[in-house]
Amino acid sequence: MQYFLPATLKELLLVLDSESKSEIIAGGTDLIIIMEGSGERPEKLIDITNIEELIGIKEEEYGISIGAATTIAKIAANSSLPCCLRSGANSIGSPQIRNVGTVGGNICNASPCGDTLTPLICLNATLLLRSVNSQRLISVEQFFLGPKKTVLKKNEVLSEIRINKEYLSGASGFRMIGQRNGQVISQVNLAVWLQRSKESGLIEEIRIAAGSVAPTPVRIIEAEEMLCNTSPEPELIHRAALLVQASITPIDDVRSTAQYRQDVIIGLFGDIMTQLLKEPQSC
Amino acid sequence: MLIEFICNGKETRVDVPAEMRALDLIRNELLLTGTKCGCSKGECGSCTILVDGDPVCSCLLLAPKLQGKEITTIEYLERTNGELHPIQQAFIEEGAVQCGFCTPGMILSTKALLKKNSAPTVIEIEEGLSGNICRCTGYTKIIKAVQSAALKLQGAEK
Repeated sequence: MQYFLPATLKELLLVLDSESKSEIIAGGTDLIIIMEGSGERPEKLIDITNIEELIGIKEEEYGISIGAATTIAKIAANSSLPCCLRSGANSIGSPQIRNVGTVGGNICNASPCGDTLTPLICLNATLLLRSVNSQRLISVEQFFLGPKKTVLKKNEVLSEIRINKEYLSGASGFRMIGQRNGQVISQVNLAVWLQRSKESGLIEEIRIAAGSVAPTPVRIIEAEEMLCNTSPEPELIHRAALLVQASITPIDDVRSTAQYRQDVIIGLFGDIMTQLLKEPQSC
Repeated sequence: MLIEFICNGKETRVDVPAEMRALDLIRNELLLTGTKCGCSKGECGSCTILVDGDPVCSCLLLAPKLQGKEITTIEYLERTNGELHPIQQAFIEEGAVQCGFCTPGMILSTKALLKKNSAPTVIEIEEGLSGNICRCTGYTKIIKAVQSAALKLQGAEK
């Protein structure tokens, strides 16, 4: 197996373009398990974690830019990031996994249960995909095609994640259910971001996304529409929760059953909404 | 593949296959067998080492990722005069070691935790050690050992 450790983005894009049969490795916390389990090795691995341009969280005019090779631990600890993204990051794995795993890896792995995916959908994040002679910005919602499948082309790399200013204000929250605390994979996860009017207190905009309940993380637009321009009382929140439940299509798998996921999402949604309306700042 | 890094304070150069895990490099090439291989899936934490001071699972790390880094294994905690590190002493005094298989990982996670947070609460200790599984002691004694180690280290600073 050949191992490339490019030091710059330019070098990475050239290697990516010229080396066929290569795979990108970021933290490797998922890839190594697959390699050990199957005994198969990619012919060439391109490690992107030595490239400074891909690491770090920066304030930009439009909002915030997160380098794809930024570790999950750094995301969880950064107080300039919205609550839902920090808690999503913090619920991944253990300290050991979060110190190595990256946000770009979590996204490109495209697992339906990735815990940064639903927060990024709620925050309407865009992804910058680069190749040697082009680059494109794509909404994170359009990035996922199915479990482990994305729109990323063979010679492309996800270089950064952008969150616009308007989504950095407002309140957001994330909840997940797993089988134990620490080191656990979501059976269901849910993220909500909302902006309330300063004058009337009505919800001006709300975005809701659920994970582990469909082949890709999904936005739940019907429930968003129900809650927009309201100041929801518990009864309306419950009706919206039922809509969330009706919008998801979970399956039975190794981690949980479809029925359990259907049941538990109602509680998760009520929990997040109550917190966001009562104590929007607590993270 | 030639890899250069600092292992337990010593400059180290090895030529190993790129697909070798850091865990296998540490145990089989450097013969530092205090680092244990438990689940090989990043779940048990018995292979924990510190990379630039942060705990990571060496079973999920390919050896090339050590390039240019500074790593600490359990062997580096013992003082040069043969005395145990205060965290090791605390684990023994509190009876936080039974079979001992998880202990190197527990102690390194504790070291990283106490460096960031010199007086952690029980919840913070539980979070800090959430990547390390013990199948013998039931955690109560381990948490006590971490609290006792925190006091020892605070005392040492004064």
